[in-house]
Amino acid sequence: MTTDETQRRICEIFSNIPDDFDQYNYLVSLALSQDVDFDEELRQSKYEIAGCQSKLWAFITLNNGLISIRCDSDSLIVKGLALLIAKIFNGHTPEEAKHSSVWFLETILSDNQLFSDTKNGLIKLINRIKNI
Amino acid sequence: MFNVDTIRKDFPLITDTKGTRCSAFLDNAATTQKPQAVIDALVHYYKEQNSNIHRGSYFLSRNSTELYDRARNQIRSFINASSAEEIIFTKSVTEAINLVADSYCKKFLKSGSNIIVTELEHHSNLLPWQAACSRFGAEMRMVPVDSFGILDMATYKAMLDANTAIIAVTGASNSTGSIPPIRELIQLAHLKNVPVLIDGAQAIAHCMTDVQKFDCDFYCFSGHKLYAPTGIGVLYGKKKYLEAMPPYQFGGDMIDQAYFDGKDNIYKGLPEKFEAGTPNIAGAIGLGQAIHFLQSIGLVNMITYEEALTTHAVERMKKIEGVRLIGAQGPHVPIISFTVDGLGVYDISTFLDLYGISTRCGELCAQPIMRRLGLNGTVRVSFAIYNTKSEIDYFCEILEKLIKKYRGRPNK
Repeated sequence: MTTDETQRRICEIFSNIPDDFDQYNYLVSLALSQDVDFDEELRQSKYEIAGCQSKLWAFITLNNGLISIRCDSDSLIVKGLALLIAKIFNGHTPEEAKHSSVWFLETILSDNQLFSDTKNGLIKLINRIKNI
Repeated sequence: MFNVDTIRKDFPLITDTKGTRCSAFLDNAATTQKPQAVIDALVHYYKEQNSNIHRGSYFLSRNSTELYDRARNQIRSFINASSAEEIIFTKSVTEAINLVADSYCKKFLKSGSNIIVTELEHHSNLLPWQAACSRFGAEMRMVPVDSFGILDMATYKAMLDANTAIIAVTGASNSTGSIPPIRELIQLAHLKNVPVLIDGAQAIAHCMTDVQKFDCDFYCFSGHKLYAPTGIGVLYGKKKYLEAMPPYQFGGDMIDQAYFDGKDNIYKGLPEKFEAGTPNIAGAIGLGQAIHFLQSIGLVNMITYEEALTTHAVERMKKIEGVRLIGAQGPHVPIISFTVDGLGVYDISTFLDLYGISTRCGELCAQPIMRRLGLNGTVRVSFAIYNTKSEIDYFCEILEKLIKKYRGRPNK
């Protein structure tokens, strides 16, 4: 699936959840569905994405030339959003990531739904992935 | 007699929540809502009185000048400064502190000087002093706090020496709400002839402010936390310092005699020397109106009411399992910072918003103190004269509900 196709799929899911409360609940359940044993290992300053209102950590590696991302946050909502970003890029090459545009955040969340600092942190995560 | 129902009617955004999605505005430490009287004063000014001050020999300009000067006098009286010349309009408390950090330091900092601030400070009362120290080669000294956010006065005393040029301290912490022992800090500083600047951003709306009684040398605050418009702030300074300090910005209205070579330029006296350019005239008038509004309610009534609200909130919040209140007991403005074990502050604030409860979360522009207290951030609720116990009860009920639903999930 291309990065655009994954984003379209995410947008489809969100368009079926019109209520803000349920959208956040969806992000929370996404965050809770992750393997938790990795958390403490990931929560180190070297993996921290600065500039987010919440703590956000990302471990970005290449497996056989393909991007692999694991994320964590002290906020379930932020973790849910970071996991969606990870889903878009996981399995792609750095070259593909570099030329991808990430537009789904603006589509799934209304402009004032996300605190600007949080958006800032997520944009930094995207840039870090693109610059791997 | 303080009647919150009557007061609420004066605040359109509080009574008419159609479209605001806000049923309990609990972020008053960030900014307060504006009473109709202030809104009306701004509209009236722009509709019927707008003109530049000090510039024209016509009625509108003279009238604007008079209104602007009247506002300055209202502020002088409100904080009990001895003269209107000691009241400088700025755009915010941040600009007021930057003015002092720049201008005072230019005049009074010497090689080997040090500046003392505390670990409680908002970035606005920290970064300008860091910049001044870096620019003038001075040493920055930080008064530490304990794990409750209480200042270590013994270290403060030890830090003060003959080379201390100025002390800058908050009048009330924006992250814990605690009020430092301002009078003691000032008295100790004055024993060494060191001036003290008080950042009154969080104190001005909740404490009786008497700059002569405090004997502080500078006091700064923003209008928008005092029910006035944004974009207007105040610097109070003792005349002896303000007169000695060089101008901060240059341009129109601060100059008496200007020459091409600039060598013989003569600046105006106080307060114009520090108010270059066209000021925020409407903002100053709005601030004057806000002060008039508060005085009509009675400051003591307001403070008593807000203390009761805070006590009620603290008692309710203490009973909620998982809630950890940040900071110590003792003198306090109506600010409560808290965390919830097992639930991120961003999530709490975001979900509260979905229930129409406006709170602030994160590091609250005070990252060093958050690190000192071992926190990644907090959720902050802060009250104003229009808040009610029932709003606090609603907030506590929703908080409890969220904690039951989300807390203890494996995400930590």
